[in-house]
Amino acid sequence: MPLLDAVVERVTGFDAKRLVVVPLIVLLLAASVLAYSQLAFGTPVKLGMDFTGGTLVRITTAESKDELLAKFSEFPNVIIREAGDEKILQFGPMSNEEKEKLIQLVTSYPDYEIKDVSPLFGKEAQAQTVKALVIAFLLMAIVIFIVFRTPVPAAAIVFCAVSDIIIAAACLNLVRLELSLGTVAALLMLIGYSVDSNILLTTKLLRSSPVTGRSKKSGMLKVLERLKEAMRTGLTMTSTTLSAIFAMFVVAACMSLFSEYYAPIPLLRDISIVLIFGLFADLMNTWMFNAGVLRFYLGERAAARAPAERRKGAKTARVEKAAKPQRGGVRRGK
Amino acid sequence: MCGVVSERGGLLRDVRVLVFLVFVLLSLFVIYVYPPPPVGAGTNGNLKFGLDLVGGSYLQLKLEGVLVKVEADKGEIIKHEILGLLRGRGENTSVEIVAENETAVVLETAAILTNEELEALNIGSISIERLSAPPENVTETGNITRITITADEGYVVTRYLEDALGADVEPAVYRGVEIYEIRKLVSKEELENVLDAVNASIGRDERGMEFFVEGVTPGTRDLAKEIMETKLNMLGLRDIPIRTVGTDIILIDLAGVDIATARKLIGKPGKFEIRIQTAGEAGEIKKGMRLEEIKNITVHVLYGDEGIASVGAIPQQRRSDDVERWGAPFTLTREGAAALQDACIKYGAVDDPERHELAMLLDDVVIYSAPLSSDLANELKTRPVYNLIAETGEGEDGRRAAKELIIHLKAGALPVPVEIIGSGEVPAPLGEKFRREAALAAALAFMLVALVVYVRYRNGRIVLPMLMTLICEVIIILGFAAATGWQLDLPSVAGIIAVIGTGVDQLVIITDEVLSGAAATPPTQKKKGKTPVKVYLRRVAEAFNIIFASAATTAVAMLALALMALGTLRGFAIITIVGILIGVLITRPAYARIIQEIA
Repeated sequence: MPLLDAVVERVTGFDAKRLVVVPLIVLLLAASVLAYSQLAFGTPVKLGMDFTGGTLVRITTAESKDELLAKFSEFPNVIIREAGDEKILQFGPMSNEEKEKLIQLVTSYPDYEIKDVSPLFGKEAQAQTVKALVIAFLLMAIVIFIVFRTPVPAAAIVFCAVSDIIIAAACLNLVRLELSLGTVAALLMLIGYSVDSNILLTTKLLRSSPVTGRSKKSGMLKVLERLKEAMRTGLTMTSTTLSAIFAMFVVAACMSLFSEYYAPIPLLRDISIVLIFGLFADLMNTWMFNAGVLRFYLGERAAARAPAERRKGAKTARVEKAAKPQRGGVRRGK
Repeated sequence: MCGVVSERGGLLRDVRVLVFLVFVLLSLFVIYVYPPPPVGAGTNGNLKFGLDLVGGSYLQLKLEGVLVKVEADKGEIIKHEILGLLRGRGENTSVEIVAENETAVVLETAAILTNEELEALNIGSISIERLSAPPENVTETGNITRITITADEGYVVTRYLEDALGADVEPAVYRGVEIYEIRKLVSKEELENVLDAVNASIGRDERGMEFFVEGVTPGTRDLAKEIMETKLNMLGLRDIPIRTVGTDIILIDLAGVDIATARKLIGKPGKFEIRIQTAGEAGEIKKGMRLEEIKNITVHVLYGDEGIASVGAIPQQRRSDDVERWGAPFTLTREGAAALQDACIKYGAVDDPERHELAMLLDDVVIYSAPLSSDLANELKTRPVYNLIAETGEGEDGRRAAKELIIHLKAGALPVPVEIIGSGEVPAPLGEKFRREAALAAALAFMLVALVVYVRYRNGRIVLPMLMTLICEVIIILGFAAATGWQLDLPSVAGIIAVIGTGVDQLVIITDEVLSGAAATPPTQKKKGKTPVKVYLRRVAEAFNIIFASAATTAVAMLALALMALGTLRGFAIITIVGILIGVLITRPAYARIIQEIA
């Protein structure tokens, strides 16, 4: 696969330090998006109905937005969104009597969907979500530290997972998607997905890596070689995952635009959007940040092991390492 | 381990491949053959679908109540009650506690109190002594009424809280602590005010925290669940899954029921009514008749929510003349007993019970009708009767009928108030659409994945086994769902698609390891079509290290989701975890063996 090889060569061609900087900047930007939201709205991500409570109604009707607004004006905080004949009506919390009335009104339409969440449930869901995220993270970190037992690579993996989630959450804000139970599930799934490719990378570079090599130079070359191999596998992995998730997104979000035969599925749409953002963030974090950190880490370790007189040679090795892939790029053409 | 076997037939002899095949076949068997799928199931076989894929409504209910530990002195409470009684008569006489022990309290007052008055307080069994002067001389000072009340503290506190809060109160043991369950949501302030009046306070737990918890005991929760179940069954909705979460949340999925009906079913308890026959012949009122049919020959006596204090938990039997007669015991409130006595006397039931049956109705349908027994009729002539038994007949039939009647009596009143904290409906046509789309999404995901791996490897001999393995993995997951009766809902479908995504990842890892291992083999050995065992094993071992580590992390993350109490997304978490386990334990080892053969 020429494209895959080209990408691999290009990315591994950069200097490790420069590779690390880009994901850090993106993370910083994402964190500031969340911080802004926290200051402006009180939560880092806008909470959806699952967490605030309210009533959501979906009906198919030819009535216009204004007609519907008039019809449903007696209920609190009506927000109406429309996509063709499909109208989504969202209401704030209301009394039981109002709710019965609303249900009566809504069920008179031939095609409808109702979802009602009390603020109480929402509060409970918020608390549990925070708990689930914290528990998932701790467990994940424990597993990673048990598997790798070396602090720097393990910490890099955990850092990548955190960064993936922060970036995915920031993207949610940017596309104005609210936090739903579906997005929470996806954020948790992201922990699993993001750790996948990082584990591949770290195992490849670390475990089978007797970089104690005769010289630092050959050691680093070996590391780069392994990195490329891992990257080829890893990129394939992420593209298969992305394509599966993309299929979910297309069906859940787009099909209904073309045919009455389909209806949007908000749950699957939410899950797929978060995973798509998260997986792209993960591509960057794994192959730029984590790969950079590992290259740097292995270089340091090799340097520490190398006899003192070779230190000088180590520097040249690093220069060569940076130059090498470019030559590889030319060679690929034949 | 069997290691490397070169001839093709060797694959089938490999234990990993065999296990894999057995699981695939077993899954297909469970889905399509045994237990025999319902008629018309078609390709769905034994798979069950969740509410969002077949249509129906769901309810999320919260049982309202408060669990509280109370530090109280029963003497103080009794004194408070008696003072209240005196104040009600316009007297301001003081009451003193003179002695108190575990079982009884002795109080003295200058006021005159009768047995009846004190009994009406319902705080225990009473005995009264007048000291130093006969009742006719009581206006003189110095005469004293000595009241001895026998009651334990639990009873007194329960009665006091019930009266003061207007709610049912049950003493209970919760997490090893003796507490009171207030079957209504009351605020802490409200409760503190009530307790302050009798110098009592909210008790503290062993950590010194005030024991005041919103919720109900597990026993009450189960009771509520049971009642709802029978109520649903009564309405012809069988096999409705009711799940409980924590101690105070109940989740109900009602397939094929619209939301308005669902909310009515559970949101409001049924209306229980006792009516008395005023005209017509004996035995004219039959079980199953509607209120309209008997309205003209009966009059209202009492409603369950105000007239019935409690219902016995189990049928009671009475043995007479060697026959077991069964009945449903229940207790009336003061008002209820009075209303019953009045009605029985007014309409002549005490003299002619046979033609004046008592009819019980639940939601305007007669569930029981029978005459007063002669001794009850006689007793009612003189005083109200609180404890009643509705007799249902002899032997096993009678017992069953009694049990049913108890359930009906209870169905009229859930033990605690219930609030609907969430509800929703996916109408059947929409569920149909969702199901179609779910299948489409899974198929499309599979096709895209196939495309990507084909573009990557461009070798049918690698891609085909990979895709076959993936399909089989999904089949095994579905087999698991069918075997456990798991309902596939939208989150489960998302989980399956996620498993397709992660599953293929791991196959890619194995493939790349094995392929690069084969590539690294010297040409001489390659010719023979073999990979040296050592290289192969090392490579595969590394692939499995990666796979195990990533499977473990995904699994723990999903575990956190599965444990989220509200359970809405449990399908996603469980299917993902199961998929990961199936992958790691069954399909990956087999695939590693197969791909090694091919490479």
